[in-house]
Amino acid sequence: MWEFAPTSVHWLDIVLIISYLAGITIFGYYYKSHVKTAKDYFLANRSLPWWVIGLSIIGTNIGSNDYIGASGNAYSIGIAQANFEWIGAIPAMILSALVFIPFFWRAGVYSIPEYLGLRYNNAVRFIAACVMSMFAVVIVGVFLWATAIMLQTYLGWPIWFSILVTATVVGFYTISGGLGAVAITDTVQTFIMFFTAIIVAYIGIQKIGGFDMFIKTLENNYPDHLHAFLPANHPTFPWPGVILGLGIVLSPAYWCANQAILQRTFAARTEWDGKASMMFAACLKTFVPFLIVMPGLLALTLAGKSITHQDQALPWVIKHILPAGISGLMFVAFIAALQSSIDSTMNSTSVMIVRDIIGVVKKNSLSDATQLRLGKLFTFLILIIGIAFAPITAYFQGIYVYVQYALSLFQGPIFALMIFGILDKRITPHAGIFSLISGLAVAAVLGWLQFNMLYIAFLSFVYSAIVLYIVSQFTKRKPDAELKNVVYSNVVEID
Amino acid sequence: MAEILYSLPLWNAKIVAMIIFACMLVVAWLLPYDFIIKGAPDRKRWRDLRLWATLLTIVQLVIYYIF
Repeated sequence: MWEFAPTSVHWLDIVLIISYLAGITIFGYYYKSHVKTAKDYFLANRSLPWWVIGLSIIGTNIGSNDYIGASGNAYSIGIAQANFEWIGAIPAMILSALVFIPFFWRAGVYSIPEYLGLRYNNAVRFIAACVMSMFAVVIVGVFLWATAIMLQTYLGWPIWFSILVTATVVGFYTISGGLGAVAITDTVQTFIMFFTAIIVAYIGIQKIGGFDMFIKTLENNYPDHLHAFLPANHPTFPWPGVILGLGIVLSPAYWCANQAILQRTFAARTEWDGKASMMFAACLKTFVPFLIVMPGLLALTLAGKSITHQDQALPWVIKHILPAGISGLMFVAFIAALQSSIDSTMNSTSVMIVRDIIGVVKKNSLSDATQLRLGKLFTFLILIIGIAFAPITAYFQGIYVYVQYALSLFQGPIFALMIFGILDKRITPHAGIFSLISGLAVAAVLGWLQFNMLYIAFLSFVYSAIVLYIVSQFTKRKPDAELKNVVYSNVVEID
Repeated sequence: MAEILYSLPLWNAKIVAMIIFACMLVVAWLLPYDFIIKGAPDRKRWRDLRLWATLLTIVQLVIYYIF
């Protein structure tokens, strides 16, 4: 991934890391007593306030890979990297908060596939759950491996040790405490990430000679790094691709239809809390570049272009800028970022496996106690499969990119079913199933033809939308009575 | 098509981004107040999520204006 000599670890850093791991385990485990039913486990008994969910959404969103990748990109291309947090997120988050979340909450669903089942039929629910679960399990393995590599590089920890420590802690509180423990620990982890980012930025800017000097250095030496957009012929981030591909399709598909992100909004104590949580997350998202872009800019201003590989930007900052104790805090932020993403993925995937896959096969005959037992069992199994898959990651160069590529294969069709299903009651169940299956096939063909992932997402979305409308012309739609609070034109009062 | 895109100055990108944010704000304010406030424990002014969207959009417009 990158070449970097392990830093000598100060005892204070080790104390901080151990204290964090012990503290978060106890804190998460405390939530065990709140779990009595499947609804407690999967939806925290619909008791979460907006600010907890908002912080949890951001914790889930920021992975440990983002620290290395985004700061490396910022070192290379500058503030344009922040587009992933701004135009590539915030409009979609507003849309999600005000248009999508109210329907999910009113429908009382546990998952995105369950909503698709209500809107279309159980076949759509089953297929969507299978596809989303499969990729979620792979992602757990990729996250574990990537973080283990970082900890080996920085701290000299053996890879198997890093994987076992992080997985054991996260597994302990996620399996015992369910979504409630996940959301509460995510909140603490997000606080840690922001707190660390502020300290790192402060120390870095002081080293440079103050904020004015920081800006002046960038303006004088790297003026291109202060532009939010890059030219249309830029090989990696051309501005039309960023706005159309990322802003119009991939970002809404992520923020309006990603199970791991949205599950906690289903657990909101009121519909307003669900909506407000995503708006609050959008407010926080504005400042996320401080966490993951700023270190790259600090490395650029202090080290110039002497860093040979962009992924070394953050390691350089940790080694040359941060004093003992603060670098430990940075490692804690890494682990927190990993855990807040993995715990959410595990819990949200177990919901889909239990309710949308096994539940559909068993024709919704699972008792509450069985759902709870299976939920804990599958959360454990997802973690075990993730651990087993993690080393396989080493055999694939840049597997994270491949996973992103694979995700783009189904985001377009599923988002088309979501948005047109919510906005237009004329869309039929048969159109849904045909559009989903053929949309996935079209995306796979485009992938086989080696299209750019932004174009795959966009084209498969457009294809699925067209098919939805064409097939709906010839097939029978659902009666209005079955679409209450599921489509926009059939909203009814629920007080 | 590609040639036209390549020839456009970068401020066009800023304008498009700002238009997208402005459109989201319009969508937010087109939604009825009762729909927005649904489920809130009271009707205090700060619970109007359209105001949150407005603040958020203004911050984004300023960011894209500067950068």
